[in-house]
Amino acid sequence: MAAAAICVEDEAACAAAECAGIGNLDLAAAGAGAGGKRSVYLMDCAPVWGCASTRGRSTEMEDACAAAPRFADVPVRLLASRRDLDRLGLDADTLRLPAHLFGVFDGHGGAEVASYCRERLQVLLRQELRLLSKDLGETSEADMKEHWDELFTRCFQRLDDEVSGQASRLVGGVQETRPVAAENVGSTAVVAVVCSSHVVVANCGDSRVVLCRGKEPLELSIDHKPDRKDERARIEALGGKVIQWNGYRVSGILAMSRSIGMYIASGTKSWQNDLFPFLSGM
Amino acid sequence: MDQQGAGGDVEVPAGLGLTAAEYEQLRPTVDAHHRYAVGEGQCSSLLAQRIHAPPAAVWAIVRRFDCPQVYKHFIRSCAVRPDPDAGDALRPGRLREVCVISGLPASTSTERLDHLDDAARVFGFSITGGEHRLRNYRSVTTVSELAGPGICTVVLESYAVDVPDGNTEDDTRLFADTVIRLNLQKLKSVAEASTSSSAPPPPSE
Repeated sequence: MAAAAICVEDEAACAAAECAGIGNLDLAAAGAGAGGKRSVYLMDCAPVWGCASTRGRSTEMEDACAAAPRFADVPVRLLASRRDLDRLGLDADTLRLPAHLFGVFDGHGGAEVASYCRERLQVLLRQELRLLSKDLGETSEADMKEHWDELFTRCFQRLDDEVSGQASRLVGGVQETRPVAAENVGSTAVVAVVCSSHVVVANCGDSRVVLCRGKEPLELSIDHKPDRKDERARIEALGGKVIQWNGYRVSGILAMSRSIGMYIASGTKSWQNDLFPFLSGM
Repeated sequence: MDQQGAGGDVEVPAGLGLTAAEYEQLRPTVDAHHRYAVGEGQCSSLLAQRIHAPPAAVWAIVRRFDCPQVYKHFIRSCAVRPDPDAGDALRPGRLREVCVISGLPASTSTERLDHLDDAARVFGFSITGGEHRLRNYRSVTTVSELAGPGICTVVLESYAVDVPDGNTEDDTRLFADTVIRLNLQKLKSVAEASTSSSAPPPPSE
C-alpha cells in the first residue's frame, strides 16, 4: 500500500538528494499527505557520480574502482523496522529500494586482485541481496545490522576464496580453481551501498570512505591498520607481530592488517569486514 | 651468532629446525661461511630449509644472481647491470637492480654478487644501495647434502645487517627473517616441483 493522496515533490529536497546521492529528509515529516512530501523510502534518486584516480607515487596504477547505479534492490526491512514502516503506511513485506554500489580497491603487489574485485563484488552482493529477502522475519535494528554483517562477510569471504583458488569461479563458462594472482598480490576493498534512506559501508583494508555533507567531512569507514588496538591484539593472538618499519607493519612487511588476497604476508586468511551503517534522518 | 660449545658439545641454534645430528654434519659449512664479526648496532641470523630435491637442482636455482624472482617473493623485476669485461658471466662484482612490488617498505635494491662457488655451492651477495632500510646487508646462502635415508638437501642462509635507527635487533631480525623464511619456503616449492616433474637436472656442476 503506497502513500496516498498528494505526492507533490519538494523541489529543494529532491535537488539536494540528487546532489548528495542520498535522501536526507526528516523521517518525521514523511508520510501520506504530510506537508505534501514523499517518504524517504519512496524517493528514487539516481546518484550523480564521478571518478578520478591517480597512481600517486607508484610506478604503476594498481587501483580499481566500481560504480554500479541501480545494481540491486534492497528489501526495506533491512533498513527500517516493521513498526516504523507500518506507521508510515508502507508495505514492509514487498517494498524494495533501488541500491547503488560504489567501491574502491587498492591493489598491492599487482593489479589483478583489485581488478577482479571491481567486477566480482557487485555480482556477489546482488546474489546475496536476492537471497536475503526470503530470510527476513521480525527484525530489530540490531538484527538489521547483523544481516548486513553476515551479507558482507559472505561476499568478502567468497571473494577472498575465489582469489586464492579455494573456491572455483567461472571463467569463460568454465570452472576455474587456479588463484587469480600470486600469493603476494592483494587488494583493499571498501564499498558503499547507497539507497534513498541509507548508506551502508563495508571495509577490508586501509582504503577509506568519507562523506561530505556541505562543508563537513564525516568518516564512514575505519582503516584496518596493524597498530589499531583491536587489530594488533588479533594479530598477536594469531602469533604475528607488528613492528614499525616505514609505518606499522605486520612483520614489518604489510601496512594493513586485513586484505583480499596477499596471504603470504598477512600470515592468516581470517578477516572480517567492518560494517558502518550511516542512517540519514536518525 | 651462536657460540661454539665448550668441549665440542653440540648446541643447535634455537629456531633453526635442525636436529643435533643434522647440525653436526653442517657445522663445517656454518663455521666456514655463516659466521660474522657483528659489531655494535648490527645483528645477524641464520635460517635453514630442508628440501627434498637433489642439491644440484636446488643450487641451480640459488645461483641465479640474474634471476632471483624464480624463488624470491616481492620482486617485480631484476636487471643485471651490463659489464663489458664480463659479458654474460656471473662473477663477483656484478651488480643487479631489483625492483620491489608495491605495498612493501622498500622500492628498489642494488645488490652486488660477492661469492659464487659452484664446487662448494656457496652464494653470497650484499646490498649496496636502493630505497630500503637494510644498511650494510650482506648474506650467504649454502646448499648442502645431508647423509641419511632419502634425499635431503639443506639450504642455509645467513646475513648480517645494521639495526636501523628507531628499531631494535629483534625488529630487524623479525623483518629480515620473515622475508628470508618466505623465500626459502618458495625455494623448497619450486625445487621440489621441478624435481617431481622429472625435468632433467640443469647443468650446473
